[in-house]
Amino acid sequence: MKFFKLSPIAKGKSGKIVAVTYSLKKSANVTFLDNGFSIGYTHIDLVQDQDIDPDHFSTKGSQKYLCLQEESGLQVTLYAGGMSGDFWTLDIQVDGVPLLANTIKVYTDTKGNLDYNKLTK
Amino acid sequence: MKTVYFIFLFSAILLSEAKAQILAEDSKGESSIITKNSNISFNPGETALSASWNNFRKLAIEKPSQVVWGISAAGNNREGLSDLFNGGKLTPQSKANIFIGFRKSYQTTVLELLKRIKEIENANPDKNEAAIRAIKQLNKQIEDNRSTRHTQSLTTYINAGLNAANFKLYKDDNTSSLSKRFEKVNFRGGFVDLGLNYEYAPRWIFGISLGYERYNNLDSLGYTNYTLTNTTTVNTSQLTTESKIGAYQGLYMAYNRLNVKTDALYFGRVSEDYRLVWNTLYTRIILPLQEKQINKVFQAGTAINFYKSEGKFAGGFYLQSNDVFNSLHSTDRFHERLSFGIAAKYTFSSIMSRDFAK
Repeated sequence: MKFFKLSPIAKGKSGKIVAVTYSLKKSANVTFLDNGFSIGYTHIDLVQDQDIDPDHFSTKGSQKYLCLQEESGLQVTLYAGGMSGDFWTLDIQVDGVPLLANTIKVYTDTKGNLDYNKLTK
Repeated sequence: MKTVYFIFLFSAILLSEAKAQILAEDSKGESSIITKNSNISFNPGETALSASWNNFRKLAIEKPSQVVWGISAAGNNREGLSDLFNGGKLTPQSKANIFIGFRKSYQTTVLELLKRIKEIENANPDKNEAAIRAIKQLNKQIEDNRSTRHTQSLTTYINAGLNAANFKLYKDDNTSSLSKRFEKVNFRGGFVDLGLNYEYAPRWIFGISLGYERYNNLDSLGYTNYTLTNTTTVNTSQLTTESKIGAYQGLYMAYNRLNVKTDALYFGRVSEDYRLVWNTLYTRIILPLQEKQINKVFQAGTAINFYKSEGKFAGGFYLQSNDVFNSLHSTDRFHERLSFGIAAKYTFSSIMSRDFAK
């Protein structure tokens, strides 16, 4: 596993590149924004990862994404739109180990958005 | 009034058992709104078995603009499921249609910023500080943009197809042969609809469509089961054969008409597990052309449909006036022109386990 300093300006903050797998499910009316899903500053290709069920997305087999895990967690970003009561759920595994935050669940807000942009452990 | 309460109670019990996808339709299963999760469906109300092939799965991901297309075919029996199985009244109908739509998103600025983030991420696999800082700034812009406006989209579509019905028509003007009184009729019609859907999340989807259709008046004709008996006598023996014939009677005609449909869907959350889609007010305006014998009809109704949070296991009920302005002069009492019903739809997704591995 490669450990490295983020940059000289980052003053002691460090991170490591980890192998991430995930499973993302949504209710029927949810629409994810194109290019709107990143984990640890790595773009997650939802088009490629869509299952036979159009509401499910996941890494398959040995597929994994190499992402940056910082001291305070993985930066998980997902933008989506939907109708009232809609939601999505996300499970992330880092090097095969589930995150403590699993299962992340986000409901539609008053603007019709289901957005998530947080450092997640 | 007690009867009405009983029907509501019965509906509520039945709904908890019903399986369906989201319904946004009137009593005939029609709508001006395209829903994302259309698939092969089985509708007990209309006893239809239908199959469709479309690219709706691409709608799971929002792009600045998208082309939506689909083809579908449906076959059904006019007189109901039990009759289909009993071998009684059987009026096979079929319908095939093709549609193509164009969906425009109002998220263009955000989608541009996301594209930029993707480019930075792909160009910097080492996750350097400068790249991360740039991504954070872009995400801040996205959040600011999204906090000020509702998610919206506009879909325009054209839907065209053919429909067919085969049935027998009883005509009592043939005096020479009873069997020749049953005339076999093959109706062939067609339709084209132009529609517009506007989605204003999280609560509303509005739909309107304007259509031209070749149709018939089979709905207004009476249906009777006949038994035709033939007796053949040879010497002292008699042979009797019976055949059962179901036929419509009355003045049959095929005609052209304009259809205008409007729908206004409201989305709500009932509980942790249940959601509702309320078609607050839908209207169907039918304007016949050419034929003076066919009246204009204005229909209006409201329909509430429930579904489980993941979009399955739903049903609903509707209240519809089939003739708001009494154009058909069937009865002067408004409430007698109302119809009430329960709708339930079993979709391919819930029948076939292939799509839902769990």
